[in-house]
Amino acid sequence: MRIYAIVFIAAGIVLSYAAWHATRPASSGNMVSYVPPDAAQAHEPRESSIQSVHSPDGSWTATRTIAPGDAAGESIMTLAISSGGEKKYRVLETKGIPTDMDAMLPANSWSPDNRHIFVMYRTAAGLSVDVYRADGQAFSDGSFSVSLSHAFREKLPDGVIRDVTGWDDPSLLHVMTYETDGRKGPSYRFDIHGRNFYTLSYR
Amino acid sequence: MKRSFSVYSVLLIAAAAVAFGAVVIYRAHDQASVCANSVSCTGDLSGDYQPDKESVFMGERVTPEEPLALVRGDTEVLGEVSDEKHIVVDLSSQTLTAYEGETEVMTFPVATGRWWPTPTGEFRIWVKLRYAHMEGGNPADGTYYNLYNVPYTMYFYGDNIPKSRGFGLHGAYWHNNFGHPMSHGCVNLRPEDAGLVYEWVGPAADGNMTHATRANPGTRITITGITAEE
Repeated sequence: MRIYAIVFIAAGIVLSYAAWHATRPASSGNMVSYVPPDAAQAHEPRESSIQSVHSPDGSWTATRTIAPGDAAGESIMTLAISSGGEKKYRVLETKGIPTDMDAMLPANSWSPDNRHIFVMYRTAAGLSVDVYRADGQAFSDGSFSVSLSHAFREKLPDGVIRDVTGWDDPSLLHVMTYETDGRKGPSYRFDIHGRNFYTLSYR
Repeated sequence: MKRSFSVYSVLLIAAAAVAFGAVVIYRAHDQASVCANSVSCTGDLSGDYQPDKESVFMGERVTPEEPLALVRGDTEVLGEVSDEKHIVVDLSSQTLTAYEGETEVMTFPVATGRWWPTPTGEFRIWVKLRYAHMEGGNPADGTYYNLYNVPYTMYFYGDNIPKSRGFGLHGAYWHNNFGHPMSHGCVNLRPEDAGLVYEWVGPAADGNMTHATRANPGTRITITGITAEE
């Protein structure tokens, strides 16, 4: 009897994992059937927060959802895009973030060619930005996201990111900085493909 | 009598010479003025979509995949343009607000002059183009741009800004950094927002190119504030 119980529990765990893995909205870019918002909300925890931004051509909507995680002090952030016209839904990222971290989709999140989108994370310690391909595919180095803040720490260790305001062109993000002493620093353009920063001229 | 006639003749010739000189100096000054868009200064004002053209902005190719300025129909019929309409662009907050009388009709984020200042003062729209070609900037400092099919262009002028300078409100498909200075002097709007403004302002559109007239006047624009150096 005890063996049957153990087998039953083990089978439950395996099946749960298989189900979780099969439905995991990872950075694979797989298209899954469109879930109307009302149906989705029925299963969401009460303290979820949702933010949406339309792509410049109006064909896609990016939605960032934050829901309470299972672990204490953790929330689950999901970034997905949907197309109302074609009834498509694509999850670009799902990950745990600290509850004191704010994940935002700024109004200028979409690249002007509708091919990339960035998410901004803020904590008391600072700001970080991850960039995703809207088609859910990997970048040339195989990664599914580009970390602007990681590249910034490598290339410009003496600066602090003040803000990332939007896209200067289809592949360049506009980055404003502080000097380490708190003074306003130069602005840069971050090339999401080359992972390089270029000082931005004024006049 | 004969003497006074020659005096009058000399005065007349002198007056004509002064007038001619003034025109020459004015034209020379106008030509020497920096155009916000050098192409618009040469009169490329058809307003038509130009297919198969490659656009470049700051050294990057930025050609949109589809025409952006679709005909949606103006909100006003020709001859019914109201002078109560007024647009205010605030460089400090990087916003455009449209008023009808005292009533705020719509407000949008904009991107104004970063590499060349957007002029402040009182202006009027003198022509609306469904699509425009804009070229300018400087290849030497990486600010060169050659942009085809710029959607919903509304060129404006004022007492100190002649039409030939090529300043305007228009949609911008090559960047998405609205709310921050990002232009060579024009007022950039999201294409969708520019479409709403284009359809709302005078002159009421009649085809792809519409000049303001007394019967179909251009809407007033006030540009105020100071652009923050970001």
